[in-house]
Amino acid sequence: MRSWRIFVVLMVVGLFLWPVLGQDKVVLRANLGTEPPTADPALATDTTSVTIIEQMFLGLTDLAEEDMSPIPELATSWEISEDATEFIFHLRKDIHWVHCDPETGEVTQLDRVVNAHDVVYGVLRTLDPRTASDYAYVLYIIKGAYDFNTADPEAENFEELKAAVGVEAVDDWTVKFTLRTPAVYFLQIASMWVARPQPQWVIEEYGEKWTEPGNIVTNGPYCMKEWVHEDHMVMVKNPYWPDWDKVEGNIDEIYFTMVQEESTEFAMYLNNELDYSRVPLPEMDHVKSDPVLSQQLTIRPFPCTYYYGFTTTKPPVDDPRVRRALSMAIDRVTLVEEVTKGGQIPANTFAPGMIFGNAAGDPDIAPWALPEDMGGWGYERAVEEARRLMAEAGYPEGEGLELLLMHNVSEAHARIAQAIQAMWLEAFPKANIRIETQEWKVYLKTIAKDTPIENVPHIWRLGWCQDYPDENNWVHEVFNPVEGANRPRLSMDDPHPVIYNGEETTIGALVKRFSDLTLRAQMEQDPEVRKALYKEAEKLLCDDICAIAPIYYYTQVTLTKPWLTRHWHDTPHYETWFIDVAAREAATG
Amino acid sequence: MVRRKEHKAKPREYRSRGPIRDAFRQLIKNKAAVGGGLFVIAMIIVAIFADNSIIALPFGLEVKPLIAIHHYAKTSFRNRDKPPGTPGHPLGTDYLGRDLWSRTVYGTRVSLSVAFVAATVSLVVGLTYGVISGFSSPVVDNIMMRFVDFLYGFPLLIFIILLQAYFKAVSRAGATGFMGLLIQIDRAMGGLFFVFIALGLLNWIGMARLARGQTLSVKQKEYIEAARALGASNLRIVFRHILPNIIGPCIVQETLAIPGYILTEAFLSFIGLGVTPPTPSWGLMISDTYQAIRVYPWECLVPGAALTLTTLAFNFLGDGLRDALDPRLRGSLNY
Repeated sequence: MRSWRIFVVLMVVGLFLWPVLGQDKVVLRANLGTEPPTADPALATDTTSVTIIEQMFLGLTDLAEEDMSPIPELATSWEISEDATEFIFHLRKDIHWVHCDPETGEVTQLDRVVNAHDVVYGVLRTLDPRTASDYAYVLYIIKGAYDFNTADPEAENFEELKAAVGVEAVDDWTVKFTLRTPAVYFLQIASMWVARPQPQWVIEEYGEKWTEPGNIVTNGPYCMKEWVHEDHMVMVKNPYWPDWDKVEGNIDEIYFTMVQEESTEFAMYLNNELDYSRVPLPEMDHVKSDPVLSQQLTIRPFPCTYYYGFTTTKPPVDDPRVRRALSMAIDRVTLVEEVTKGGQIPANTFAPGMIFGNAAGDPDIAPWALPEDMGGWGYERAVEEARRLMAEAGYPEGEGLELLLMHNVSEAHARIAQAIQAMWLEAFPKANIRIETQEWKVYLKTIAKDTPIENVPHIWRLGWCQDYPDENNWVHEVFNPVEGANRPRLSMDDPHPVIYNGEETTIGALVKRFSDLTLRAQMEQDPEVRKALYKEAEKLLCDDICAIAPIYYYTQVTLTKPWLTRHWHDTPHYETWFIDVAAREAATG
Repeated sequence: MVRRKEHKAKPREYRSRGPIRDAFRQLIKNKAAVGGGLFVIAMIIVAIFADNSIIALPFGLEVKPLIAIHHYAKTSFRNRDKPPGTPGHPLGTDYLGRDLWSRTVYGTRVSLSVAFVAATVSLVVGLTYGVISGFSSPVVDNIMMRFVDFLYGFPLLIFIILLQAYFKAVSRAGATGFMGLLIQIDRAMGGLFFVFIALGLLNWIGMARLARGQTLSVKQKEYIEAARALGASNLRIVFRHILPNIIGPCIVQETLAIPGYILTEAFLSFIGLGVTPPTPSWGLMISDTYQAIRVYPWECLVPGAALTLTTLAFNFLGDGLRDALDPRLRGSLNY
């Protein structure tokens, strides 16, 4: 009888002690959404890879949470030459490379401090044609980078080209970049993963396998302990990262699942298996009306834009009046309220509000896209004007108008496409508008610039997310007819007449003007002048030439458990997140 | 085989019946088949009168049947995701505020036309091919059947998918002449025409084998020899003696294949290779809404139920027809 009592007492004591003994580590449970295609900073192109790289590698600069302005990270300070073509970064001297034991999770500090040579090696490795990085192009702004990246590795002058790239270690703690054109936005580019220091000796030892746990050597606040491909990844805190006392985060370990289905992720969140989650589109109404979930819901603007592009060389959308009429007849307000439902913002320009030089919401540009309270036309007036323009272009009520709209396979894109198709048919009842879908990779080939014109749809759906928060990354890199991707096939020879600033001119002339504007804005250093240049470029793109119909600016729709205090950097900075362990214990039992 | 009641009946009540009447009597006795048949007839009526088109009757009468209450593509964003029982929307609305009942009713038209066109193409082509093959000399028969074997080598569904992808690409590029005409027809039919072609193009091979086998066995019968001895021409033998004797099993087989066609169309639309939106197809409706099944279950359950009931009905009907038309198989599960 007595021994039984002692047993019970021990059990009760054990029960109370359990949380204390068992919970020595604070674990954040997050979903990556997919297997990260790579953990190599030189090769990453997608947000998932960038998310894990952000935890493991420090950039020269970081982007501030509030306004995405560049702030010090690996570089403590920098100097910019008068003409903005030379950037000198001074590095801090207390960041060590670390290695994480995949068996025990123990982190060891290596006898190597991250220095300027690591940065130079990282930049040159990204640009090396043998690395075959799809994102090397963002570094083309560096002098000689383009020539090196496109060179033949067998060529005799290959080493010369490599040496000519405008990046050098002045001393162990100073990196100097020389640019081919002035670019004040280089500070933002310097924050990107493609310009981060990389551990040369590890990469040379393990080759492609250097990012596997056990091999990988990192310098960020977290390091990789476990990566079970297509299943999960575990990251542990790097105790040697010197800034732990400057952030309020308390997360010791991150457990990433790789669940693809949003509905599964959502169910796991409801089941307390995840600390935060995305919200599947069909669940939006439910989440908004639920008294508990609505409290956990956060909707924030996200630097991406959803748009429909026009193939401007393919009749009938070669006529700017038809393009404008189609853009006008999209009821963006209803679309974001009733179809996408995630608090998205109706778009009248290409770049969203957070990008330097943006003109989002400016009623001088495509006012038909904006509701009346923002100084726009409102949909009723817009659709009236659309009908008038369409009749003027020779398609009264849409008679004789044959259009093909394409999007990549996705339930959300299908809903938006069908909604817009319905709006167009409402405005132009006699038109024939067909929708087709393709898988992403095939789709990208179909809408590529070199696809024969007869195979390209008239209208195609795309989204664009920032690489770095400057208009150059938007209007120039995506649409410049000379240097950009230019999927709408803008041409300086386009003969369609148009009235611009009260003068008769042609679309081709406007395209030329657009191209000159974005090139000039690259050189310009006065921020106010740059803003003015970009505003006119946006107006040409979305209004006068109307190469695209911007539809909405993205939002990030997230559910966060009440015990998690998080920050909202564009890429998550988990070192700043805080979990109230007691609250989580109490809630999950 | 179970002995039939007829044997107990008194001889003087026995009257000779034609094979069709006999089959019909058999069919009527099978309750599941009758139910399936009635359902199919109801579906046909629904499909024909879905529109609010006006039908002129004699004596100047006009009827304006409107089974679909609304137009299938009529959106109403403020009325989206309404549950069944909403005034004006008996089965509710979908995510764009389109009436679900109307879309399901129009979907009937898509599914049934696919079913009947594919079945007819398959029956006509397969029967012709099979009878010619079975009735011809062994050499011709051999060649024709090896061709069928060759076609059998293709995985059917993948072939259909490839074909549809090709049609879509051609349709996007546009064409002149005959292909241009086909593209025009396809656009007018909301993408249905190419589904017909893709389904009909290869589905006849099973039918050809069956028809050829039946022809071979009937060809040996004494009455064929008798007809030949009386100087009947080949054509007469085929049309008067062979076809009527083999048509039963062929129709049965085709009826049983119909649910397959309906499901294939739904599948093609589900993966985006079928009809083009907003033409409603049950498969398309399901693929658009299945992820919302927890929140708005009716949006995919309504077309799902329609699809299930229709395939079931065709299966019951096909089973009943088989029992009725093919005496050798009589006495299986239904008795």
